[in-house]
Amino acid sequence: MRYRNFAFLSVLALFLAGCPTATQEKAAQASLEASIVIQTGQQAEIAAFNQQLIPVSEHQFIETQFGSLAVIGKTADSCIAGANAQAATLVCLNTALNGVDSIYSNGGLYLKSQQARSIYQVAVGGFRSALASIIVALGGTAPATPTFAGGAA
Amino acid sequence: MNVAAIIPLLEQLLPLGINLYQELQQSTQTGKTIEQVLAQADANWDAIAAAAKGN
Repeated sequence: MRYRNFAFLSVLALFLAGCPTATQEKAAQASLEASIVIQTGQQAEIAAFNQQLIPVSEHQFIETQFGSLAVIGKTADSCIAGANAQAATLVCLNTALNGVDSIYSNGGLYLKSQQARSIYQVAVGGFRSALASIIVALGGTAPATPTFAGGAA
Repeated sequence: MNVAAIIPLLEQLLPLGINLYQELQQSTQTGKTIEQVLAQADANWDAIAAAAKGN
């Protein structure tokens, strides 16, 4: 799983290096990037569940969280579309990041299986990285990555 | 480190990495309006929500 984490984060870094310059466009690209990362993570989670690598309860938990992330993403998209200044765009991104951080922390507390934890951490962490990177690029301050507590049962 | 044991893992990860990279590269292509980028993101979020409900 360390190699998978590395692959995801490497691709993410490559993408972030090529982001456009306009504030609103950067934010829109961050949301699009985040949606692709979560979608890829969701496909990996479902595949792992189908291979019986993830318990049913943890699979259901993760899919519920992915549903919540989709709501956060859509809300951010709507907010970004209506933001007419950099400060307003930063508010959109920070609001989304707060929600994502809460979901990230919840996963650490709930998930026990290594496969579930790895996929969740990479996917939700990727969403978080997309938002945090753009916030910093726009002159804002992103909070530190929250603790992913817990571990194997 | 057992290199032979890592090769199958890398073979699995490579297509995943390439697909994700290509999708991300396509998403950054110039010529798209902000509205188009957000619409594409929204469609992805809708697909994620639908898959989450279906699973």
